[in-house]
Amino acid sequence: MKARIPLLSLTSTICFFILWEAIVRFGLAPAALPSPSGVLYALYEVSGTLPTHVAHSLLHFAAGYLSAATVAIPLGMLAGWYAPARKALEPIIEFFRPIPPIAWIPFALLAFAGYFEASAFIIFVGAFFPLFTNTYTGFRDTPVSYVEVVKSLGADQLQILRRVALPSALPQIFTGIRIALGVGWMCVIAAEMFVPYGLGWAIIQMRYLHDIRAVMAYMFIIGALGFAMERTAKLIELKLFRWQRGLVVGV
Amino acid sequence: MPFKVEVSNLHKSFNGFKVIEKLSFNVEQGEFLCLVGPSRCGKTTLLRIILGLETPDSGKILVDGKPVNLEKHRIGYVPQDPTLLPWLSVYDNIALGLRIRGFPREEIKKQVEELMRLIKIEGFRDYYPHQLSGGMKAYVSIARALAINPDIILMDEPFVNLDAQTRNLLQAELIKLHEYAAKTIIFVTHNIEEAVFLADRILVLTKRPARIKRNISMDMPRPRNRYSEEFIKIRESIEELIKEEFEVEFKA
Ligand SMILES: Nc1ncnc2c1ncn2[C@@H]1O[C@H](COP(=O)(O)OP(=O)(O)O)[C@@H](O)[C@H]1O
Ligand SMILES: [Mg+2]
Repeated sequence: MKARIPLLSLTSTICFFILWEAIVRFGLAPAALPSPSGVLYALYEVSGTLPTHVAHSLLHFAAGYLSAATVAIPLGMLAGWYAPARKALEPIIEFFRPIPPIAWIPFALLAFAGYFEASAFIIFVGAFFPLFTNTYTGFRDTPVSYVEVVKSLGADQLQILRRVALPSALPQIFTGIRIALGVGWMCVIAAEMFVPYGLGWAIIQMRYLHDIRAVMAYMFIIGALGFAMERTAKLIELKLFRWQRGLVVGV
Repeated sequence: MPFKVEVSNLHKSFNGFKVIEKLSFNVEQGEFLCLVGPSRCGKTTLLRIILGLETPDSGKILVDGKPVNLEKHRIGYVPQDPTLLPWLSVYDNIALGLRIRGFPREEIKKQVEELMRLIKIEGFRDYYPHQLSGGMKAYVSIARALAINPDIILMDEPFVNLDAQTRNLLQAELIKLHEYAAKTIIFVTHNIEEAVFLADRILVLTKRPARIKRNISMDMPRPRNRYSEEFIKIRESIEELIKEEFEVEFKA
């Protein structure tokens, strides 16, 4: 598949930035609003320390996200497939679910000795629920008729899990993976506002320095990284689930 | 020799609604049995009970003298709706049973390709189910059931969605399979002509709850001529039996 940016989208984006630039230049906007070119220049100014901050954030993110996936996906499988596990887990999960990940930040800072663990934990909390819920629903909604087909062909419980439940749940699991990337990325920035490194910390520093251009520069970096992750996940998804697309042929 | 399939004293109801009542019959090794009956009389339910996908309220099913075990017995099942796994290509759908049973790759390839040739779907090897028409799905569903080289085949109105020409072709292939490979076949249909064309024996079922209304042994030699006097006579007599069932329903 070729990635083509349609002409209309491209034009509208360019126009948006030109308009923004013009509004600021002609003094039509509040004085605080920086121009796109100003933000670009700030980006150049912060670019020296940027890689370190990005590296810290990605590290926090990876640690939290991967540990969430390691726990949430198997638990979701278990709860989705075995009704007793579902009944046992549901009240516990539902107890914690309504607590926003951000509300865990003070707890994490007190509970963990290191800032690294504390930040990773917040991402863990943020990523856990979308991963768990989607895996759980994916397995729970395995179509009975598919299960019966492989049963009639001689499948045992393990074969049913491997050949029907897993592949039929996989698109939903992937949706969870993608949503959790977004939520987790939000959480990493929030968590880092309270720890002395990472993009969250960097953006807060610029606030104290009253450098709104640099604040916006970091905002765009954070957005771009989030976009890149989401897009990569989407591309993998399209590759993996080709069986869901195409035309009807035959008699 | 024991019977291939023994159904004895079967009862089944859904939410207190009787679907099968006191049903007993046997199927011999190598016999082609057709079940015909009014729609919703419980034919699909009966096949599902034989397979163990549904538990009867009481009664017994024996295959080769033992309770059904789908991992040990080789029973080919063609469900009423061709249910293909959407994430598998046509090839992989047909190969599914052999993979589950742990056959070596080469043997699977040989078997599946031969089947695809037989029913002329080689060209669709890499298509996914959602790209196939209803008739094509039915083909694949039949091929998948045959791939495990079953010694019993349960078919639930398998040719319903096919045009008459294709249906006749597959009926002929099925008879070949039955005669050369000595397969035991239990075939559900509401197409009476089809039953008369195919069967060694026809069980006509009553309307719900399903009981046996008539047991008809077919000793007409094959290939049968659908236009012969004898053929038409048998067909009409069965049509009459089914019609009676509807009349009972209207009076009740
Ligand atoms: N799982 C089920 N739950 C409740 N009712 C069912 C179920 N399966 C079948 N039935 C009912 O049993 C009757 C017989 O169905 P079925 O065996 O599919 O008939 P047939 O195949 O002869 O048309 C129908 O009235 C149907 O609605
Ligand atoms: Mg039916």
